[in-house]
Amino acid sequence: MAVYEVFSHPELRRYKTSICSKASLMMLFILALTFIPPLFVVYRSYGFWRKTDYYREYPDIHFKRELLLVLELEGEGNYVTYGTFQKYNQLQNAHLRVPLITSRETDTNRDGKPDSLIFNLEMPLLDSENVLGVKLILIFDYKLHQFSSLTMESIGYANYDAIKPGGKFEILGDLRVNQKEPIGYRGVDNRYNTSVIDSTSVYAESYDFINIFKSYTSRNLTTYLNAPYMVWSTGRGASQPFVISATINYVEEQFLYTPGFWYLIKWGWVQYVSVLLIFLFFFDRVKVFIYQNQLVPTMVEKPWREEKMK
Amino acid sequence: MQTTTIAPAPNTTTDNNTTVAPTNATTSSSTQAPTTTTTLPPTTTLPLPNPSRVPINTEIGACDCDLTANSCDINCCCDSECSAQDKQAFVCLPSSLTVDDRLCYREEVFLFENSQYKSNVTSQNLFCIYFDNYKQRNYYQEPDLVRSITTFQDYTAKYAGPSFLTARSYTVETYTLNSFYKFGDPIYIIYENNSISETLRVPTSTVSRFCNDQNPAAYLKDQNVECVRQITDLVTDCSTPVLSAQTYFTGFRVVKTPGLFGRVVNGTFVDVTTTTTTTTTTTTTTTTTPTPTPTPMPTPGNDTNTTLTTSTPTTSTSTTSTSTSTTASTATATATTTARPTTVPTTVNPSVIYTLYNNTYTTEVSLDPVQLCRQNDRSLINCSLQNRPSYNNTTGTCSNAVEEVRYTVLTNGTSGIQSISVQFVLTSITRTMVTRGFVQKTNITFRAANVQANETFSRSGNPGYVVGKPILTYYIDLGPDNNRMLTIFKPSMNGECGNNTSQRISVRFREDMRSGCLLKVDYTSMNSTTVCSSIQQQINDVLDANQLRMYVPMFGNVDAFKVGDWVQIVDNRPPQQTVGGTTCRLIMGMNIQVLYANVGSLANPQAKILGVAFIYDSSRDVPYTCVGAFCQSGNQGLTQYLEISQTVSFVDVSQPAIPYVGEPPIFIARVPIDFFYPFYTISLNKRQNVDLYKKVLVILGELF
Repeated sequence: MAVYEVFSHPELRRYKTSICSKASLMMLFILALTFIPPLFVVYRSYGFWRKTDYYREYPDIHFKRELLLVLELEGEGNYVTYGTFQKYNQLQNAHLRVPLITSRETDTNRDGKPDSLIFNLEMPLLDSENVLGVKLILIFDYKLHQFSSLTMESIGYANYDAIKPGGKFEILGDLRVNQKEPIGYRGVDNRYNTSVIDSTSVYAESYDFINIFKSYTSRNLTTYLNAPYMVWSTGRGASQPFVISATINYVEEQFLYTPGFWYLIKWGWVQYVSVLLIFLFFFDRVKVFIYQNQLVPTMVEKPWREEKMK
Repeated sequence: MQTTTIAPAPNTTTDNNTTVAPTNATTSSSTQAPTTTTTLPPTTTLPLPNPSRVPINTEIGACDCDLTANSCDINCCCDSECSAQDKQAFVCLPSSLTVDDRLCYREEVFLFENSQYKSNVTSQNLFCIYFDNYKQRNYYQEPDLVRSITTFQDYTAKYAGPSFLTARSYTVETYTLNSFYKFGDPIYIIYENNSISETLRVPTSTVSRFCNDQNPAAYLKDQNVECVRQITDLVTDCSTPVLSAQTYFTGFRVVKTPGLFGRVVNGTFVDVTTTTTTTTTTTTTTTTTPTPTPTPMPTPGNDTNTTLTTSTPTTSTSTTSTSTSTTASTATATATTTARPTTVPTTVNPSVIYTLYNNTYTTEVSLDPVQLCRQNDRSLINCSLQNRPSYNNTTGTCSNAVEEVRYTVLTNGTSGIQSISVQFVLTSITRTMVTRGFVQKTNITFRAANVQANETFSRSGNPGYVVGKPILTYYIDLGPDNNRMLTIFKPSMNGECGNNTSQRISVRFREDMRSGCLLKVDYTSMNSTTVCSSIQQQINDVLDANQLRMYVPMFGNVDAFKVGDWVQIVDNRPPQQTVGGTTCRLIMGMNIQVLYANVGSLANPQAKILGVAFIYDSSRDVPYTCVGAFCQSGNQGLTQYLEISQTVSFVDVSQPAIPYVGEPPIFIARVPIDFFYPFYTISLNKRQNVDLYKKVLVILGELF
């Protein structure tokens, strides 16, 4: 009659020893080898603590209806300018020219956050005046909600200098973010919720473009107008205004941030345990080999009695 | 790694070829039979000799610096024409070429050495290839020469990418008697002198703001464009045709329907007298064309599907091919006549066409009875069209120049254009305009012929407002007027506040706006005590803040006589205040605030105006300020500019959809009454506990 295995189950074999013995020392040594080296393996392969990480968010951007515009005219030192700042306009008394501004923010996907800005500006000019350059600062309100509740005032700057007198200047671009350091993972961040242009100042230096940019670029989080597609059209007809037309898209951005405690622990744990499993398996075999062959003397307690086997 | 350069290359290597260099045709006939499948046309009688083939699995470009035949190339040491003395003067880089560097014993081909030796390099790489039985993987396959156009096209179809090749196929526009204009088609016109077919053009600006006259007008597409005409010399340029009104309506007729070209075959007008003999034979000019007499021509009252036709009238081909293609097309046309039932009504009746230029399917551009002339103060008055523009020496102006062309096209379904009329705005070009160029506008409007012009008016939405559309206003004291919009002022050219109230710009829905201008005041005018109110009056005139009761419609399609659907504009003007001295307390600006809300379904929201308010800026003390040197007495002539502003802002006050959550359904499940029978029987003796048990059991029963 053929014999077959009808049932099986593992037996537990116990090795006993005193506290101060070679076997205890060996056990301690193996345990240390099992649990500590995975830490070094994980740490030395870099990325154990995820100190910074990326996430994507669609920012809440609004055009603040504030701007600073300089139109460079033909002739040395000729320009017309306009800002939505009363004090600036008073400074620029002789060069001040008030344009007609139209702006609209679209929300095509109706998520409550604007998707793009459609901006139009018509600057009245005399027939004798020729526009050769544009400097335009648009001021935006920039908000993030997902991790850090960040609010800041930011700008989009468009600059163009032409050699031929223009009639229309068209800008197509995105408002992108430029980040120098990670933002926090929680809390309210109002560090940059200050005016880019100090509208209360009566001093001319506050409205100097380079001074505005100097203080702005010293921030760690700024926005810029990424507009490689600018079109300068020549030929302005008699009694026609100079037109600036811009379509600026607000885009989803990738932000660098410092994760919180539990996020660090979670990813550290995942990495450590995955290496530890290999070590556990390997040193389990080592232990079985050592104690089974009595390389260190122990008392072996077998789970069955000798007489029953006979 | 060792390089053992020894011995001439053994001929007993693995490649079967006996020759190394590409040789002539004799080699190809030796071992490899060419696999060319030459599908030669039968006209070529002589079979071509087979081309020389490249020996397989051999490096053939051993000396590719030898580029001058029968002469020694500089620095080319493998050139056989170079003498040993020449080579000593050369600088030859000892570079070599490895065909496959994974072999354990690999052959290096010396490129710049004209020697018969090859070098064998021993590689000590662990995974080097000791025996290579797949040498051909390092050598290209050699395709056959292409001698037929079909093989050529097979190759290009399979391998060719984008190229600068011009488009090979040119689609010739074809017209049938049933052809009619569709939206976006160009509108054809025909000139009188030699029946040239052209399209109606709308000059517009492309790269610069200057006019480009090549832009065709599109059928049923309203256009309102402007561009700048460059004028260098007013005296000579005054007589250019672009400034003359006659250019835009005389000398040509507009093709009502392109079905007219169905009567034109290959640029020539096809006579219909061949079949309809009753008609007059005045069209003798067309007798030279090869008319397809044997094919049955359509009789005037006959069926519609007789498509005789083919190409644009401008194509000119030889007469022989013309006749063949015409007959072919008519043959197919007659075939389709029987197959297809008539669904589209005929747009052209061929029997009434005698010339391409003058027939019932072309129309002249009629002149609108009212023409407009721009006056010196930029206002328009009615006038009649006079002669061509002329330069006036005394005034230095070019009068009667066309500033604006307004075409109005009446259309009627598939019949195409019913009539087209033109109205001009004429002006006098002054010398000051010459420096900048002259702005010319063109407007083309399409309207259904059965609708009167004064019955139509444009809506701003149906029903909700559309973004960018104007907002109508209604003065209860003046009565309804479809053309009165909510407007804000526009600054004049130099940025100052003009007193021209007509130069206003309409408020467009959901577009925030800001307009401003500079009001000029000087010290003498500020010094007077009564002047503040007059300055305020000037400001009010600029803002157009008159005290009339104004209404705006809540929807874009509101009936003018339905008073309840109109919202009165809230106007809270603060009273005039006075301060003494050289200071005026003035209201310098106004904000038109529009509250709107989306109503209707969430998927298709309709914007509704809830209210409009004129919010005035708070009064500001405007002193006469002197700056620096101007404060000295006697220098008080410094003019001051007060900035007057008018803004428009739209506020979305849409209320969220109220979420309605339905109550969760009640789950009723009961067990049979004797399901817990044993428990009942046990407790029979304990009557006082029965009610409790029952309650528990009923609750349990309801749970399960």
